[in-house]
Amino acid sequence: MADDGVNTKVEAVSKATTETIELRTEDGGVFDVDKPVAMEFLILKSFYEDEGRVFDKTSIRLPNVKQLELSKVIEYCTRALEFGAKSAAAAGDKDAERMVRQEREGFEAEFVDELSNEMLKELILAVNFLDIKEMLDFLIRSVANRIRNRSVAYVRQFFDIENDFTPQEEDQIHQENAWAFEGVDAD
Amino acid sequence: MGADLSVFFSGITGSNCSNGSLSLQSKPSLGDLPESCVALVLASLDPPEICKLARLNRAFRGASWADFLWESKLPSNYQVLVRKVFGELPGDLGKREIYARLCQANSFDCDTKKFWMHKSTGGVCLSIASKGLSITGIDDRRYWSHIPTEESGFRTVAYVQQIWWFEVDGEVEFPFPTGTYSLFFRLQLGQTSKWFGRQICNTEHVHGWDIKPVQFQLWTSDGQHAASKCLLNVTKWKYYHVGDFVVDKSNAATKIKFSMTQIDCTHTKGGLCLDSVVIYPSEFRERLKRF
Repeated sequence: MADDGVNTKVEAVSKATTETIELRTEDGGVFDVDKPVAMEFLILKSFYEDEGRVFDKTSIRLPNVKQLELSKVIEYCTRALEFGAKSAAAAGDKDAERMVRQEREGFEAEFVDELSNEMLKELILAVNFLDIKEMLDFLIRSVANRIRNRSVAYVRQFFDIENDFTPQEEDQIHQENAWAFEGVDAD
Repeated sequence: MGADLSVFFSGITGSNCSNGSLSLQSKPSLGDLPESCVALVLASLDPPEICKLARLNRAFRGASWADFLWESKLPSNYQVLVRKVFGELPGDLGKREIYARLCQANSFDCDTKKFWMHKSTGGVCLSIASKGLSITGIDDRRYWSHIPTEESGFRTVAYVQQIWWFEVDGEVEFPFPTGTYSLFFRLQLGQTSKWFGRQICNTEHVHGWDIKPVQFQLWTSDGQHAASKCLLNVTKWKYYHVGDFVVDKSNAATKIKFSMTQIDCTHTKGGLCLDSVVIYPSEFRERLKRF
């Protein structure tokens, strides 16, 4: 059977590290998380590495993170690691690289489509706390995509914030911003 | 027994309790996002969007002025560009104001040239007036004249009625930020005028452009060269693409020379309006070609 280089490498990653960490969420959820995935949470990584702790199968309580969010975070980070490995395996082969990229884009589009605005926010808070840069960037971009080209009223509702300006302040802002909205020459 | 990560958490978001653990707000909303996350969202948007969101509320307005946000949108050599506008770097101008200022049309070289930054992308664009070009025979009223018109960003175009030797040269030295740029001549066959409120194109002098092609060329001081040629037959304003050049070191200014010639002296040509030469970041090339 032809060697499917990509899959073999991905399997090797997960077989070599069957160590898991037990994470407990504040609402009683218990998750056994593969070590490579858990180490994507920089807050955990520093907890072990910076503090010089020996890695043993201990249970860690995560305040401020709920089950639903953690399961989504684990899902994303696990897939992200897989894509990373596939990407590395495909390096140099333009077609394979493109396929991995498209597969990742497809997964990310589906992942974010299923998220309500509230869930998106909860995830951002959780990921910000857990300090997962890649996933935070992804979530932030998703928020930006949802509000880009929308009206001010829509975005206010999206963030659930109130207009706290006085009419004079609003005039001032209008003037401050005029440069961004007037036409300049042939564009 | 397990570890508790709440010790790592001191005052990031939500309400802080003195014992070091945090409690979630009961009503989740994106307005409770930490400032750092709001800043990241703004950084993912383009400048006009950022300015639009300044209208949301005071917190967003404040965030929309953050220097680090605008620094990331400015070209890497923006200080050089600012000096070109102001002559020297004003000490107290925030980065957002600098960005806004650079997006205005800034004239230089005795108003024969202007540059501006494209609002959304921060790309630098440049335009050179017909009066900033070396036109062979420009002083001879039998051939060339300057015509005031609203159709030009410089309010005047050069018009050739009839000539054997058609040659237009120009050069510009400018601190372009690194990137790839496209150079165009903006031309029209025929002369637009208003006739009882309607715009009409007077083509009575148009001749000689469909016999042999016009040659366009550009050269940069670091040895790049591009050329194109075509017959002219369009009686409305059009951008004719000369070629592209690459700027890979924006410390020094880039010097570019360009020319448009039709010097086949077996036939005359005329009836052409020359507005300007423009340089745009190449991402706008296809859009301008279709203009």
